[in-house]
Amino acid sequence: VDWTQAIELGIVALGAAVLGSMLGLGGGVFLVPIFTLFFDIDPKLAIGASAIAVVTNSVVGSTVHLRSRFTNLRLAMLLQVPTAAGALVGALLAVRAPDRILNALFGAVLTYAAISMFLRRKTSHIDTSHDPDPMLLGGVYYDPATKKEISYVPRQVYKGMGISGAAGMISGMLGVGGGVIQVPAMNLIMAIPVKAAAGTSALMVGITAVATSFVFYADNKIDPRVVLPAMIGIIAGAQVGSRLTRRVRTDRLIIVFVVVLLYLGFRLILEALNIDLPSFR
Amino acid sequence: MTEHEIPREDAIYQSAVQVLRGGFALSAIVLVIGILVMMLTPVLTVLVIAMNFSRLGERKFVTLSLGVLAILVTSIAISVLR
Repeated sequence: VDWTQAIELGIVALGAAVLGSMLGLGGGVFLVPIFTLFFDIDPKLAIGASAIAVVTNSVVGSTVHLRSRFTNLRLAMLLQVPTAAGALVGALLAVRAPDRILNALFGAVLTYAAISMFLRRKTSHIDTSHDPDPMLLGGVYYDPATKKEISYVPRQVYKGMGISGAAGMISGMLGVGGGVIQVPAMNLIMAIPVKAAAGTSALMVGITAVATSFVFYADNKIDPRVVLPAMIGIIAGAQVGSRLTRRVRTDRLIIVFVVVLLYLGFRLILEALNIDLPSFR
Repeated sequence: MTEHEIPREDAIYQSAVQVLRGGFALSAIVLVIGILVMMLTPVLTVLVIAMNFSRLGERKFVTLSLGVLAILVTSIAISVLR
């Protein structure tokens, strides 16, 4: 990686983070496939860089959610146990896995994200405020959009923990935050309001990615020449993305994003099968 | 240029190279330390969350937070021991 390539990586990371934050996916989902497919970066170096970028993004971003009390710390710590354990196992598997397996898995996750994004236009708004709360996991926050205090009690907690473990493992293997799986699962299965689910996930993804990044660090897969452009690009891109989200109707752009995700997923699966397409570079 | 000036000139070049190399090495070390500090920040956050649950007397959540911390410490131990 030379200086020009580092600048290119930074610009790509910025673009990935703009797209990712507009979709609520985090930048890693776009970062790893683009680094791997178009810059010939070793997939494991790209995953390591993405994991650090996810940590950075979480450290910067979750303060906003914590101040607004969108983050449910009790729920976060409960779900974090299986998530972090899954990430540790996933990362240990990933550093030993052949690149083809990682590419195939990443391709499958991108395809899943594209399909779920296409289908997911609905979010759950179930009032759980009067549910019994034997595990003391309920939360309260003030929603500036509706100017109301929202209280809720998570449902199907054990199922949520199981999904978190699986999300953690995928996150550990691919260096993505895992929010792609966790936020919809929290909302649709555990009946947690979207803002609380996103706020809780924002903190959790950073902790999850730490478990991943130390394993990759041990395996010399954290290369500052790849990590730094990714970190800087992701931080700047997330800022731009969150501002753009307020101005642009993202639902109109969804179809474009779905096509991009499907294209990247398809390319990664082809790469895993050793089928070459003409490259842009 | 006399014979005596060549080593002197050489010394100027050598010292400039050394300063540049030193600066580059130092900045590389600082960058790696920065990345490590970033990686340790969430670990510290979990520790602070555990301490605050402990202050509130919420034992169950202290245990869960310490469980998360144990997993993270395992991850760090793996990287240190390799």
